[in-house]
Amino acid sequence: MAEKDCARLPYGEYGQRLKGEPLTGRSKIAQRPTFIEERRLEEQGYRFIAGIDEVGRGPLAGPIVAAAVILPLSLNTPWLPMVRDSKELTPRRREFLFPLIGRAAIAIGVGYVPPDVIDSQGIIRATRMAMCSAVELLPRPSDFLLIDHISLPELGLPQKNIIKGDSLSLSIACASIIAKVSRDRIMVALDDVYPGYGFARHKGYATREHLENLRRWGACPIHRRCFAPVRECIR
Amino acid sequence: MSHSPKVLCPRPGMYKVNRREVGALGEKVAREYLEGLGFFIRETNFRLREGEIDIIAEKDDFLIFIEVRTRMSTSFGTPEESVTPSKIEKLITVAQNYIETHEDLPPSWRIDVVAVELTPKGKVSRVELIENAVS
Repeated sequence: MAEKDCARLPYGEYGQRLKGEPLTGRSKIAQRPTFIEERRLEEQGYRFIAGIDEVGRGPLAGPIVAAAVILPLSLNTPWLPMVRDSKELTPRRREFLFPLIGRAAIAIGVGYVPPDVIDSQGIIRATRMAMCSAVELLPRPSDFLLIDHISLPELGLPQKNIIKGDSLSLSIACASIIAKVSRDRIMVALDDVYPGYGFARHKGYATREHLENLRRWGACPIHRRCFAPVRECIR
Repeated sequence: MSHSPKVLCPRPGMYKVNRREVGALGEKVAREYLEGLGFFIRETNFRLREGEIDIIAEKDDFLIFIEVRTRMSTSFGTPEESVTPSKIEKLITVAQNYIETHEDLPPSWRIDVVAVELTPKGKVSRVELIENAVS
């Protein structure tokens, strides 16, 4: 799209609403993620385009998890239109899609950064570390990265960051589902190790239940001490 | 076609219908209909713990999983409207399983629905194939 056209519309290149632009009526475009960007890159000769997304930047406890997913662009199965950004899907639908994406994908990498590293490095650097290790763990190397919101120059790979990529690109949406389900499963397992906080239910996010239990029991080893609500409870 | 379930009660409003028999009749109607359209039927009533697929067929290099929906009245919606999201999930799960456990399959697959509507007396009033019903 020409830059002129972009300026007139309140939407970006892929139809997303741009920051600061007013909502014109019911302008939330019901948009499904597509392979449009991936196809464009394929025409430029890239073969293994990885979608990358991260989950768990907000919670007070637990790891940050990132996933990288390379899909065959010829993929055309009845479940593909069900794929959305993981936040728009029910837990049940995510669990349903998780194994299907796992089998259909050419390669999948999942990277974790534990809470103590989040404390020492800060959440932004931890996010980058998780994304980098997801890419490095891909069993088949990728030649182009499509990343949600962030750029990873340290990897030295051609890449593009897309704002709201998880609701625009199918590869990034699939990565968001893989990352979300992986992290939720970790938190359910950690609930057995550190019971009493309700990690299986809130997955470490700052719900009322979590905050009450945090005040009652204090922080446990998987709490992120650099986050304000946790820090207050330690004092 | 003159299949007719034997279990119908004569008085209107008091039809007591054996659901299983209506379903079986619908599947038979659907099978004949699909064969007429040139489908090669691979399997019927493919059953797994996760669910069941009524008909598995092949046509034009497509592997097609078919859910047959039979209704005797449309007062609760048309047959095809009765395919719920959770039913779709089951169909996809079983279809994926079938693909992984069988060889020499066509390259692509899809899920179709055959809608069969019956009159209260058990006559077929409508048969329709809805291609790619899931998406």
